[in-house]
Amino acid sequence: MSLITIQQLHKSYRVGKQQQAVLTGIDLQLHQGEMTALIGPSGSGKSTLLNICGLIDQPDSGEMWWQDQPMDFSSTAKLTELRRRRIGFVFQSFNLIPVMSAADNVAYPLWLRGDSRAAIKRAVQTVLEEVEVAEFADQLPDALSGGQRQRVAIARALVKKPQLLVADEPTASLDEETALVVAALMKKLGREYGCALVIATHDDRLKPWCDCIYQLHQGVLQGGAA
Amino acid sequence: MSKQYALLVLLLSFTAGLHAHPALEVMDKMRLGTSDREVKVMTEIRLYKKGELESQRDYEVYVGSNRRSLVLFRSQAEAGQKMLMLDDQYWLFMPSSRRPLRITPMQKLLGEASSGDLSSLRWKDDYTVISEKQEGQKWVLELEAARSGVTYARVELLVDSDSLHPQQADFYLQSGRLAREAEFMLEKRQGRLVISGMKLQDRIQTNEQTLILYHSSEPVDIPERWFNPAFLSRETL
Amino acid sequence: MKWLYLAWKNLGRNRRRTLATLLLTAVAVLGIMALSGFALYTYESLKEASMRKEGQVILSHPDYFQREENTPMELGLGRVQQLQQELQADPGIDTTLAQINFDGLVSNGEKSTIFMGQGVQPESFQRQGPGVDLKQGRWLTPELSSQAVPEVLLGQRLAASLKVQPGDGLTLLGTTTKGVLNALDVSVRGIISTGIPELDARLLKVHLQSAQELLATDQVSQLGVYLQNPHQDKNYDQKIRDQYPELGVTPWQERATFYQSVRNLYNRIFGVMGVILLVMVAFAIFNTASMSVMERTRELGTLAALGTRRREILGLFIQEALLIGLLGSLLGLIMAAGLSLGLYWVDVQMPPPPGQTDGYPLYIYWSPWMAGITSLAVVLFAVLAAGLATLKGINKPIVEALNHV
Repeated sequence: MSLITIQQLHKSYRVGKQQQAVLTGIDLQLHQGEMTALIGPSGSGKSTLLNICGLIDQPDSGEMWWQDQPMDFSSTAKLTELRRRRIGFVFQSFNLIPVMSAADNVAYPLWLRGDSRAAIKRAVQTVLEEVEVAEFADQLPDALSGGQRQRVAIARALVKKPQLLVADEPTASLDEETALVVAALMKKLGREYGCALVIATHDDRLKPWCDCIYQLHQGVLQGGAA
Repeated sequence: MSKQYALLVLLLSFTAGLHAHPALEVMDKMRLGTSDREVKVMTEIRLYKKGELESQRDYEVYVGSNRRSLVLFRSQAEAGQKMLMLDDQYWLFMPSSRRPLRITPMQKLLGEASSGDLSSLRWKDDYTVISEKQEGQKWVLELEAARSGVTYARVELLVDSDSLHPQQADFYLQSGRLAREAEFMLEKRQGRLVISGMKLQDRIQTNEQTLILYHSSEPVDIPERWFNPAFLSRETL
Repeated sequence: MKWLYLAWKNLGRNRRRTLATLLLTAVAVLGIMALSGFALYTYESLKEASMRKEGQVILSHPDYFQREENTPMELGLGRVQQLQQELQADPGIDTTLAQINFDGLVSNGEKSTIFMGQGVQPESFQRQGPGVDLKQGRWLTPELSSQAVPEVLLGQRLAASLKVQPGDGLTLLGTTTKGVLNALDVSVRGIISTGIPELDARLLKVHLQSAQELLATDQVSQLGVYLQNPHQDKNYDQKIRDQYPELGVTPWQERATFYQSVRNLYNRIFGVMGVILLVMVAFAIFNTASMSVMERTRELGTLAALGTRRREILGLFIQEALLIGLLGSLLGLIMAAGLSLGLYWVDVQMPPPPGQTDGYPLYIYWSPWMAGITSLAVVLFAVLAAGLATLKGINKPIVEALNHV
């Protein structure tokens, strides 16, 4: 069963006095355990689509189902709750909270969930080891390299074992070697935790890891299983 | 009580003496009986408020020469008090104090104004006649204060045109306001007509009337020391 | 608790800014505590002086303070000794002091002038404290024998106008209860000053019995009740009222017009100043929070993307303001305590108030009650300011926030 099903999704932005169509008639399915890439040049709408999947943006029209439940985009509270419990994010510029240590950053989603201190400690330790930044647990983000930061970010995204992982250009700020490492990591953990991964990228190097590849060109989606 | 003082000083000021308008001389003579000898006048002052007698006081007034007088307070309420007037200076002597208390012309009023002001009234010395008018049987004399310090700047005096006997006097303040109206009471005693008293109607505090009665007037010899404050503060008279 | 931890961490983001806001808050709190402390000290002093002057509860004829007497002692208080005995039997009452208020003329033989006098019991001088100053001579003799010459204390300017020194003689002229003039020879015992020149020009004090002799009365004008514990004044006010329904019972507050006016005036002035200080704190924190929100726009977007509820983000900023408010208050309270203590050591004189001749030392009370209220107010204003500043920021769409530079 697919985790997310999107049908006939449209989105446009107002530019000046005109409506600019960004996404046109999008049909998409995301499956748990699979890594899906949305590829396209900048301005193609891939980020917008990604954001909608991650419930931080709303479509103008179309339908979306989470498992078999239709999505209600009108209630901010419901969307927030879903994100809180089921979705993890990885951002291009990492977006770690600068005043907290790596461990605390990773712990944050579990704080939100209300887990006990002991449980949090265990989970954080585990996932930090898995992304291999355990030795930097008490460091502040600005003491870490780009790659290390992104790994912490991935740890943060995965620590609560989300059903969906949304990553927007996760490797764009990284060098070649680190990029590959990060990609491999995401794939591995995605599989392990059974989450659906959706990545927006214009980086072709990620292709080998993906189970599905979609091309976005001027708001239209093409492609499918790799 | 203060009215009495004022009135007393009024009495004291009617000293016999000098050469002035004949009417003034006649008045002084009629009240004191003689114009040049020292006299003792037994005086009573009654104060009426709204027609009711409020207080009644007795005084022994010794009128000396050269504008000197001594008043001995004879009522029970004021027993032992004395007031001395030497020219324009006043002293009060209280039985419970050994100190002669000099009081200012303002303070001799000690409360109510008008009566006290009449105290400085020595007809011959204090006023000059500036106009005379005949009205039937009467002379209307306009008197003007002859020196500063006299409270009533102007007096309108009515006397009989033949005998010069005083009948009425109206006392006016500097501002022109009528302060008091006096009516002279004349009586025959031992063959002579004397001023036996004055009825005063206050025109400012209109519910007050005062009656001054001169019961007797006889010549006496007043010892010099009676006009000495130091003596008076020690002795009971 | 985790939010507070995060809030605390966030304060360290821009140390200089946090410190500046903190100091501003502290100074505002210091200002409010200093102003209120000065006012409180003034009220206490005036209250004490007023109570000492006439007693905590004042007994009199029921109309005595309502209208003028036409004749002396017309509205006097009788059977005084009996009253005093009855009252002093109560262990809560320390003492009672009778007083006669009267006027007349005082003369040195040559010159006489009006006086406003008080016939008092000699014990009253110990009670009065610093209200009346002895400039020359001595206080009235505690036990004046009936043969001795009556004594008088004169106000400084009155003594000067009569040109007398302690030891000189004067005569008092007054009116008795029957309206008759009476005089009393007195000896100048001492020269006093109240600090108010207009009073000193007329003031005169004699023994109660001397005044009674002059006025030919055995009554008094008022009887002041002095309690063991001044704070019991309200209880005793009612108690004495019940005990003597036929008498006029006046609590000290009704007689202390100066105290009341100062209180009203100061409350108003300092109240306004306090509010202004709080508003300034609010503005500062609003400013700080606004800047903070703007700088952290992307971060807030991230937090929202991670599923943080809007009210949790609001709460975060509010807790940051709360911490600044609390820390700033604490610092301000400590500074105020230091100031208060310092003024006990270092003598700073205030200039004389209007209409008086003597200055007085500056003290500031550090009031725990005021400390609590001020902190509470500061925190409240801080929280409101931060809340307002944040509200706009948290309503930004997430995508827009994430794209913010």
